[in-house]
Amino acid sequence: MTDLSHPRDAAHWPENPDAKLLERLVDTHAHPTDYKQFRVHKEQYRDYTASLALSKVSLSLTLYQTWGSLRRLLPKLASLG
Amino acid sequence: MDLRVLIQSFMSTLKSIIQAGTLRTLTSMAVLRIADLCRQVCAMSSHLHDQALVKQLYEEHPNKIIPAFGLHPWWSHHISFQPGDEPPSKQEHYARLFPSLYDAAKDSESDAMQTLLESFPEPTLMSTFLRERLRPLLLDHPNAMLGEVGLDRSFRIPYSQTDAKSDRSDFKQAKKFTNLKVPMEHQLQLLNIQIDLAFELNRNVSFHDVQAHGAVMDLLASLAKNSERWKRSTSRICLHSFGGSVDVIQRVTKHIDRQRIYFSFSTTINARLERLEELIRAVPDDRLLIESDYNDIRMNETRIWEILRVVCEAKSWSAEQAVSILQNNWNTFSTSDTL
Repeated sequence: MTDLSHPRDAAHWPENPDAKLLERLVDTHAHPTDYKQFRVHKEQYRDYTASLALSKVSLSLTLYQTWGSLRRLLPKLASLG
Repeated sequence: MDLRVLIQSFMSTLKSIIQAGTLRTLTSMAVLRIADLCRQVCAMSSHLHDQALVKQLYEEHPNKIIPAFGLHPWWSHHISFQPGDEPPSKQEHYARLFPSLYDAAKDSESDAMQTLLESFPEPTLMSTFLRERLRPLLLDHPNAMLGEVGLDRSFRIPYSQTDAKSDRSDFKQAKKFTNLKVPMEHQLQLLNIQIDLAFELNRNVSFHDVQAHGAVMDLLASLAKNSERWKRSTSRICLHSFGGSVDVIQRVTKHIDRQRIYFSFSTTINARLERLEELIRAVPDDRLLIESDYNDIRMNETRIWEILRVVCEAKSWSAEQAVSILQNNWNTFSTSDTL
């Protein structure tokens, strides 16, 4: 359990993120739609978009923890198709 | 469910989506983790084509996503400010912005430049984007910010990604960058129009400043001194992943507008700065924010946890103390209707 009251330094910082702390914070700047694309007006980008998604899935499939999420994702993917 | 059936079902569904060629696929991947996030994320738009993606992401997760709409300086060259209803021709527009590109393209040895030129899109009139996209998006989303907008003296346009052998188009993977930089006057024109709209609609701004601290300070000082809209508005400005100096922080907080301007830090961009902790210490406690500044939502928790730790060490705060202060700062930044 995280000691919330101790002034932080490297020696006292919890190795794992503390969900109870994180849930109170707002990420004030993020790019969850993958902004670093420079030819977004091209058809290639649209093809690439799909392949990027596929590569992400392929990577995720190698992680054991992904399977629970994958089961939850299947109905959503089916509804999109 | 049998593992093989599960994989086949999944891949089959994914294939049908890919074949449909829709942009929904990418956001669906983001959805996978955004749904699991325990906190809100300000999702930035950057160019003409991702405003709709951010909108869609917000609609799927209204409690997790705070949308931000606007044009980033990296794509400012796609925009024309020509008066009237018709944009200039592609050649006219890019020749005006990048005279050296056309000179090089005439050279028979400059195939790469010619390819780059051909890869640029037809220019879009700013007046059209403003009227048909940005203003309606902000009006339709009362909690939306303007972002990401700003100035960048460092960025150079990469050669065509479509020619890259790498199958990734992340700009860091690009083999070469051109020497082309979007003129500061063009970036400023785009920025001024967008900020003016944000202030008219009382929207907060997420502000990109890379090696343009002088120009940014001049702009903010001029707005604070001369703009009636600035004076009437309750908009706040977040200088995100701030990489300036202690001197700039002091100039902003003491001489420009302490109440309106916040400083946010990320490990994604700021970790490379030796003076990061010094910068964080220089920011008044009630004007400090944190961010991931990352384009993969799966890393969100890690990035936020990292910068929280840096803030705690810089300010000698406990984790609880830091979270309380940052939480309060965000509430003031995002909801207060007075300055």
